[in-house]
Amino acid sequence: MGRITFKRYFKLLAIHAKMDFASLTRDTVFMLFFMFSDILANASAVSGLFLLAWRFGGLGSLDKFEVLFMLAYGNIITGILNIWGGNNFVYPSRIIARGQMEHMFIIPLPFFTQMTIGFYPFTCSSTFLTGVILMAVSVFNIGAVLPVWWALALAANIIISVVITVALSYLVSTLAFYAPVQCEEISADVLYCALYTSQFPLSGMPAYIKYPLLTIFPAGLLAWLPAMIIFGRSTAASNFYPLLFAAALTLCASYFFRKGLRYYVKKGINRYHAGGHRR
Amino acid sequence: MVMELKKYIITAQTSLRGKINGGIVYMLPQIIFKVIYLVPLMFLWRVISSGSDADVGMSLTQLLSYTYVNALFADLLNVQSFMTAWDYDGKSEGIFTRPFSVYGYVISRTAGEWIPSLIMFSLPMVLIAPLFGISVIPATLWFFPSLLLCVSLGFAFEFLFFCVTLRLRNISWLTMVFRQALMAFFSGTAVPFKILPFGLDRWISYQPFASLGGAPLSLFTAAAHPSQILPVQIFWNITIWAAAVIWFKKSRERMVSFGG
Repeated sequence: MGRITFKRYFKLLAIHAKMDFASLTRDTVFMLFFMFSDILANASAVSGLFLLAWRFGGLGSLDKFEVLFMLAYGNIITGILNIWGGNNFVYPSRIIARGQMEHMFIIPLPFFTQMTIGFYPFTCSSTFLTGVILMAVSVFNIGAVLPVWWALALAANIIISVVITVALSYLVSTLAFYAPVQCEEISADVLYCALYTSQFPLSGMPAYIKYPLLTIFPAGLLAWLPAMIIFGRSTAASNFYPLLFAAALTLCASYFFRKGLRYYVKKGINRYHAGGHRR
Repeated sequence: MVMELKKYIITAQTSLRGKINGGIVYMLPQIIFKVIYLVPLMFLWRVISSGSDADVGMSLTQLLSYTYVNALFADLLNVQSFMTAWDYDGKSEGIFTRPFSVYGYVISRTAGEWIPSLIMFSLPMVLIAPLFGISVIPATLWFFPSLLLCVSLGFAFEFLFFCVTLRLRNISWLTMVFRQALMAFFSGTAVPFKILPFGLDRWISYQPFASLGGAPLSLFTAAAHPSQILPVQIFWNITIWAAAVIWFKKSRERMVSFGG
């Protein structure tokens, strides 16, 4: 196995980006229609809550454009996952449960380098673009003056939210090592639910709803709390909470994923009949 | 006639077994996530009702019932069959290989898939609803014909969107995402039309998607009168089914089955 340097890693990313661009330009009209439809679909998905916020002048303690900011933030997180996580790399339980880890073992590249094949910066960028457009609209219309460091806080929080999402997905995917049939879709189920639930502003909700959504099922860390931090409405301690949570979750995910992988190496995934059909 | 019916029932039973053959545990995550999504949404209505002095358009009791019943009957209010997934998996030709009507096969198979969720999620949630002070008794019996029309229209859209997938060179994912987003807003299941701003409810109720989930839910919670809802549902059922049958007949020749 050759040594993987940053240069080599980015070269691989560039190759996949080039192939994705080729699929975009092969039939540009069709692909633009594809992306435009996706942007419309994303805008439609967030419009319900935004219209509610408009109707009532905001939700909880958030102004209507602050709600839009929060929804846009969620779109950006989903968009980044779509761009980087193609070919099920953001849903590893599918790879594990379908016995596709074996395919990866025979490729002489580390796991995270193989993930570059999930990089679709052009054709899967619609959700990200929707998020950026909606965020621009919300920032332009927000009445309050944002702190000077908000752009930095935004970038840092986006990275942290993405790390939390990926770590959560890998943590629950370890179950697929032990119960492949039952847990094939568990990472998709968890992520879809977390990303949908992250649309709800938790301001004004009782503690017994808010805290579980910031700890046990951290949907609140994927849009609401980052938005509060960026608006400068959180306490000093809670500003660092997402970072600490992301670190702890990543360590947990790493530990359990490796443990599951060791089990998988010994037992394998006995899901295929002799004829090749999946049980 | 009995034999005719029997094969549809057996198809439904087969798909029911297919849904639970991984064990009951297989369904548990989906049930848990439905509850996780439902609880904050219900508290959102409480936040809105307590924080607004203006007339919301619906009472808190109505909003809670609307959301709760939507979660209970989500599969029926927003019909999604296996067709798109089969197209993605390269198995679509399977719907033509059964010794009975394509429409009958799709409907009976999909209905069979609803049963485990109805038993394991909807039934317990109906039983515990009074503990949360939520009414699960429809305000009018017209809810039931409206639900039937909603399910029927859902299947018509299912065939229509399957044709869209075929015309879009089998890009099932795009059709699915686009459709889900459209349905989420324009069917009125996520947010009732009556509480939308700018008087949107006055015109949005007449577009075809509004005759899906939002229509029976409005009757369930007495947010609309049957005379406003049922004629529109009947009209869209006739129109969309006619379009679906004609377009499906023309599009099926374009079906390509490969992949897996």
